[in-house]
Amino acid sequence: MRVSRSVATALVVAVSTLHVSAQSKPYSPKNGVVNWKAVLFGGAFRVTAAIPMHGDFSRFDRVEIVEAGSLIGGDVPPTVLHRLTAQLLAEFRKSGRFAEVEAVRSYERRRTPTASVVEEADAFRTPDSLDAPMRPAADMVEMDRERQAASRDKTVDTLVVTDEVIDYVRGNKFTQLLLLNLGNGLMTIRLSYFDKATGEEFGRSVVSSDTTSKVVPSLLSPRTALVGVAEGVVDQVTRRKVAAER
Amino acid sequence: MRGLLQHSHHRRVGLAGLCLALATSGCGWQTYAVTRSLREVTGAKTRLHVVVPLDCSLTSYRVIEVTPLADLIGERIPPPMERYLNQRVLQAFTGLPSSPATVTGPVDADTGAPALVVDGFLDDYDAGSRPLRVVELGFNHVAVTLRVRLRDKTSGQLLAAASVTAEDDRASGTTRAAIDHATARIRAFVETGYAR
Repeated sequence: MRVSRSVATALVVAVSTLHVSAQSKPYSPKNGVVNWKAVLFGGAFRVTAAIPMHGDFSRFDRVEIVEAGSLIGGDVPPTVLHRLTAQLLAEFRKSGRFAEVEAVRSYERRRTPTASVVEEADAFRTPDSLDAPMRPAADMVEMDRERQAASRDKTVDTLVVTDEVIDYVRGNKFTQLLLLNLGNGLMTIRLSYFDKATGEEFGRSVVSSDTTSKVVPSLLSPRTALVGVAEGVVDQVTRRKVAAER
Repeated sequence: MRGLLQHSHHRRVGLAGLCLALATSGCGWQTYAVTRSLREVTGAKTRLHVVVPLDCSLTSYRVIEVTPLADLIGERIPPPMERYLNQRVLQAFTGLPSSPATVTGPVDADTGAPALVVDGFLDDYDAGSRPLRVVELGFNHVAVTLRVRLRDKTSGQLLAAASVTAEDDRASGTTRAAIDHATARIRAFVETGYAR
């Protein structure tokens, strides 16, 4: 009986320790340029800071990812832009450092947090004219989401991430097998990080990734340029948040 | 249908394995030397993304005002290199077929002659890592991305816009050479406006 009680006590202590250690799991920043995963499977990334990240990232518990845009016209198909947004969402959720991660259609930056700006009505707050045609259902759903998000704003600080593609190559997985540095896929995006409430820009960077690998060709590799880019973005934000929380 | 897809997937994987086997069958230094030499040829790439196609003729423009590119990459580009970049962009618009005068913009005064205004952005600039390029390891290449816009000065109408990326994976690659390649590609894009 005494043995079983001590075993139970030990189990309780072990479980509580596990919980604590899971909460304070240290984050190890990724080296995107050279790492074994990228050498084997491709998807290495680089991050170029245009405006170094600054400010207190520890207060952000919510991330809003604005749907990816293109600065190179139709050379990046809309499906790729949707996949990029989805990949960023998935990667942020996987990191587990933010309580809420959502995608939003657009973000209009608030330049100065003055009273006049507060009074300025957002689209979802302004009633449509009775003579105006009824909006499509998708718009109404989006406005409902924005309304909910606005109501959450009172309690949670939100980091808005905007992203635009500045270079994209689909690549050719078969040409890549010639090992002549041909057919590599590549994606480069520019990101800005804003405090949703004030509109202050907390950083700007360019993140790029490609599908070159030295061992497993991209035809057989699970890693793509999209995966590399998403890892790069989330790594940058996470390392800043973790450093601010210390 | 599913069976067909699976069959196609198996064929692709088989083909990939075959190519890989062929490529690695002679992994001696001779094979490496040959493929490395070829990679030195294929390593410098430029990509042009046309944002607004150039559908009109530019021969009527007598003056081209080239505004220095707006730097969106911050202090990543050293000032001498930024000057070199803007100088090369200016040169890309010099000596075009109809011999328009090329001046550095913005020019407030209206000379009366039809003028084309060129402006744009430096979207990306990264020198990469030469040691890693030498050993062909990691994400190491030089990258320069420029975006230019061509407008009619009088009407303000956007006539054309394009983004150019120059990438260099070669051990000998430099940012200066990448800028040269990118501006040469811009020149080729603009020259299509004189071929109408």
